[in-house]
Amino acid sequence: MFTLPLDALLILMVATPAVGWVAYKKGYRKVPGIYASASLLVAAYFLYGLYKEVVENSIVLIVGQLPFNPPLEACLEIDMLSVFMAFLYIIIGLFATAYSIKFMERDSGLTEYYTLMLGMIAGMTGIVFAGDFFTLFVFWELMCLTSYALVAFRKRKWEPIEAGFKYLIMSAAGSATILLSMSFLYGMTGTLNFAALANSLTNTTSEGWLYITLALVIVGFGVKAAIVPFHTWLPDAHSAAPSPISAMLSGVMVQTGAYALARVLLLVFGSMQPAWQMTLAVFAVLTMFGGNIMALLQNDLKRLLAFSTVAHMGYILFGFAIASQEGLTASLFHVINHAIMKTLLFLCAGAFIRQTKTRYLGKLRGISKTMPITSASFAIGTIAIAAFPPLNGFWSEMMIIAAGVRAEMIIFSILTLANMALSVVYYFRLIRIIILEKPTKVSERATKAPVSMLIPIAILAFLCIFIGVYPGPYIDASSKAAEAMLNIEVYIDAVLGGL
Amino acid sequence: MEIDRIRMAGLTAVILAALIFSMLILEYEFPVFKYAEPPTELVENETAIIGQEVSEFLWNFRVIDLIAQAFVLFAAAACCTALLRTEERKK
Repeated sequence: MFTLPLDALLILMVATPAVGWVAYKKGYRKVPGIYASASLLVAAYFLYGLYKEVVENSIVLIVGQLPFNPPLEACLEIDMLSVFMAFLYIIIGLFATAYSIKFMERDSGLTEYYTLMLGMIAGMTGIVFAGDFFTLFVFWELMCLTSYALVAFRKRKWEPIEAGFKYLIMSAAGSATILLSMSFLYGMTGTLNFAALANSLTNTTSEGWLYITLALVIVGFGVKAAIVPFHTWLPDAHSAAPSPISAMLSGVMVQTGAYALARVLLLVFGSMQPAWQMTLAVFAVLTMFGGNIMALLQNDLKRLLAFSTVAHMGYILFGFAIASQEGLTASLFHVINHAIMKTLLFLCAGAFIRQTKTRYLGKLRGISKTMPITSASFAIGTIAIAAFPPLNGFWSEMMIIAAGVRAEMIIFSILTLANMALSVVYYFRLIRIIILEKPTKVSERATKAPVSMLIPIAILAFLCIFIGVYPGPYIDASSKAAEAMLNIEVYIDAVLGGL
Repeated sequence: MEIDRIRMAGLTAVILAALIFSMLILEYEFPVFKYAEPPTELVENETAIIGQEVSEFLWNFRVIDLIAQAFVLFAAAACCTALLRTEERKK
């Protein structure tokens, strides 16, 4: 139908309600969670096969109907970047799903929860596989729709409903903006295929309508990528959603917005690079400052982490704005690291909240005395995200700055460095509160998190250390993905070569 | 009456954006298919066959989108079921 990993995700998603129904009848409440985790393992296995196919056979793998007629026909165009991103979605999804089995055990509607979770991961995978702007948009809607319901999943409380509704309104406005930009592009070129669009617009620069379309693309994808000032949905949605969903939203979903933005800018608007490069760099710096300053003011653990995500989106966007092999490699490496670090932090936050029933930092003081493993993992994640060597965050953040300096974007690099220094203040505040301070009554009453929740946390903490000590393979993978992103001629040739 | 400054700023920004957008539309003529690579296959606008032509086009050229859209509809139904579910009573 599409490709094996995507087919597996979609078909297993559709089968989840049936599995859940049978499991509930038999009284096995954990089965949907185990089934969803197994589905992701199957998808990861198929994705590995696809990765080998991309490496061995072709730089860009095209999946479509035969005879292939790309300018009009919808197709999937899979390159190293697509595989790179899809691996990240499926692996982070696996951690979140495995963690959810225990975390969500007291909630109702678990069958729907796992169906939506698989749907969201399938949507994100479809986005990175899409070779056509409209196909991307259909999968974009799949991702958005499932994430609205997941944010508002705990519907008994007012907060998730309010956050979900706000997210729905803002994201729908963003989607409408993307749709408008697509209609303009189709009106000008008669196609929505990425390679054909890139081919048609190669030598165009001074077209007023293209600038309007460019602005619409940046705003549309910018909402999902949480670019300041379109970020206001994010802190509410991330703090109100169940913690595994916050981890997914923060760890990978916002990156999908950044991916789509970078892909469209580099492929379709390549000829207008000077125009969007500076705009994106300015937005990146605004996003860093907005995220970091707001994070400094937070007393709610999940809100603080959410604002930290906004700041990190700024770093990632700055790497994309540099638009060199080095800048893109650094950004993509930071995409991996941020996904791991932020998933770890949100999962730890979820464990604290589950055991104490509070998100307020004032009440979580000294919780390391009663939850030592979770607190130690949280401290590792915090130190890593604060870019302290030798943990993973250090390498990618330094690589972004180095790439900025080499591209002669000195002022932006200094501002990025200043933001990284600023963020250390609230990350160390977190460590002080969780580890060094005297326990409050709430902290003293907390019990250790269940082992099944600790396993994903411990693996992610280990990955922070492992990638920090041995970053080579991950930098190589990021470099290959960045190369695929920049090889626009190869991409066009692979799709339109025969025409 | 108290004026909400944030709301006023937002309203001003929206009006300004609408004005700029309108000015741009008046200033620049839309380049219809200016960058299109020939040949572009167009559907003939004859009411009798248009429905058949469109569905034929969709099945021949956009089948990936059609199938993906079916999954979007399934996900929409799952979202409704999730948000309209009856909560289980705690024992």
